[in-house]
Amino acid sequence: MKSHASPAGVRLWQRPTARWLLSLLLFVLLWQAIVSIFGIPGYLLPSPVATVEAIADDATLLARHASATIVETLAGLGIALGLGIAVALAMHRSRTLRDLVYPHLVLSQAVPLIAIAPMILIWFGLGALSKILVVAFVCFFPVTVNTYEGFRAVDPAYAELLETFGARWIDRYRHLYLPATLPGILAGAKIAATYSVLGAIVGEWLGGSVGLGVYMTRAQQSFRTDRLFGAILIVMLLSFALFKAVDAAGFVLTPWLRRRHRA
Amino acid sequence: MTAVLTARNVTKRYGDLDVLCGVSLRLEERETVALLGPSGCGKTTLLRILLGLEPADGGEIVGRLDRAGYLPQGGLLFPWKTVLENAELPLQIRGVERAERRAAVAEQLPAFGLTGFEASYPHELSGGMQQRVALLRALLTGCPILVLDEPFGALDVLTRHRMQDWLAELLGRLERTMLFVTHDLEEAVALAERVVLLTDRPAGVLGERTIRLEPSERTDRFGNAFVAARDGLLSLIHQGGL
Repeated sequence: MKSHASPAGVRLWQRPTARWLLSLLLFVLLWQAIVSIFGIPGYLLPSPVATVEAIADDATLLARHASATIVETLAGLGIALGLGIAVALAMHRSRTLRDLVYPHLVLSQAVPLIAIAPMILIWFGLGALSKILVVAFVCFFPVTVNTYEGFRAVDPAYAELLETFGARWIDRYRHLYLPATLPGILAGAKIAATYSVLGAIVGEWLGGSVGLGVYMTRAQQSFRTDRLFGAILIVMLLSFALFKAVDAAGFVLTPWLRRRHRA
Repeated sequence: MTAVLTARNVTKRYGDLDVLCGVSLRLEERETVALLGPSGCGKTTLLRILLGLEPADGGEIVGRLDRAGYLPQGGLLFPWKTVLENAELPLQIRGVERAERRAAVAEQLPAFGLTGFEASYPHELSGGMQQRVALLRALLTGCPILVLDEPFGALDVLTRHRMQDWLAELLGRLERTMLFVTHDLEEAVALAERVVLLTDRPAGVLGERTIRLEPSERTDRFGNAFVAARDGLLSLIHQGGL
C-alpha cells in the first residue's frame, strides 16, 4: 500500500478540470510576471490585470458590441446547422445530387476567408446580414460533411430491417439515420461552434458599426492594446461557452451514450 | 396443408461466386422449419431473397415473405432506443397510436421476461435479453410468419438452451409459421418440425428431415428421442459429404 500525504489533494489533481484551471492560472501568472519584470509598456503587451481592468472600464460598451457578435454568431451557426443537415440529407437521398454538390463543398473550404469576406460585405452590405453569412459560410462545411459521412456509415442492415416493417424514407431518417448520426452531427457542430465566433469577428473587422470585431479595430487604431486584449479575452470566453453549450446539448440529446459511460 | 411459401430452383451469384445453386423450399402454414447448413453457405442470402431484400438470379418464388416478422442476424436492436421503443417500432411505423402500441408491448413483457426493463437501453441488457427484445419486436410486426436468422448464435451454450426451450414453449402458444436459420444441430432438433439441410457453398438442398418429438422430448437434450433425432441429422450431413 502506498501512502499519500494528502489523498484528497491527489484526487483533486487527477480531475481534468483541476488540471485545466491550474494550467491556465500558471499561464496567466507567467504572463503577468514577464510584463512586470521586464517593464513592458502596455501598448506593446498589456498585463492580465490591465486587460481585466480594460474590460471593467468599458463594460457597458463591450456588452453592446458583444451582444451584436453573439446574435450574428448564433444566427449564422443556426443557418449552417439547418442548411447543413438538409443538404447532407439531400446528398444522401440522391447520388446524382451528391456528385454535383460535393466538389463545391470541398472547394469552398479552399477559399481563403480573409479574401472572400470583404466581397461578402460588398455584396450584402455592412449590416448584420453579411456577418451572419460569413459565419454560416465557415460553419456549413463541418456540419454538412460530418452529417453526410455519418449517414453513409450507418449499417445498411438496419435500413433493410426497417424496410421489412414497411418503413417509408421519412421513417428511415427519423428512426435510423438521424439518431445514428447525431453524435457525428454534434461533433461537427462543436467544430462549427469554435469557428463561428471567429467568423463573426472577421466579418466585423472588415467593416461595420457594431460588434467585437469593430471594437477591436477601434482599440487597435487608438493603440489601446489593453482594450484589444480585453475584447480577445471575451471572444475566447464566448467560443468556450458556445462549445460547452453544444456539449450540453449533446448530453441531453444522446441519453443512450450517457448511460454507456456509467455502465 | 396450405403452403405460405414455395421456392423452386433459386439461384444467386455474386460476380464469380456461386452462392445458391437451385435451392427449393416449401413452408406450410403454422409449421416451424429450420434451414441448417454450415457457416457461410448462403443461408442468410437465401433468407434475404425470400424476404424480398435482394433479387434472385433465377428460380421461382411463390408467396413472398416481405411482410414477415424478421429477426436479422445479431438482433439489430437500435442502440438509441429503449427496450420499449425498440419493441414498439413496427407498430409505430404502421401508424398505431402511442397508447395502443405501449399497451401491446406491456402485454407481452412478462412472457418475454422483460418486465422492469422497459426503459433500459440494449447495451444494458444481457445477450439473451437482447435477443428476446428482438424477437418481441419481430412478433409485434403482427405478421403471421416469423423469420429468424441465427437467433441465438451469439449466446453461450447454457443461455442458448434456455432460450430455445423458452421459444419452443412460446411457439406452441402462438401458432405462427416460423422459418429460422441455424448452424446448430441441437437448435434445429429443439425447435423445428422440419429441417432442411443445405450443402456447403454454393448452397443446394442436401435433404430434408421431419422431427417428430413431443414438447417434453425437445427440451431433454440427453433423452433418447432427442439424441436419436440429432444423430439422424448428423448422419444425413455425413452422407452428404459435408
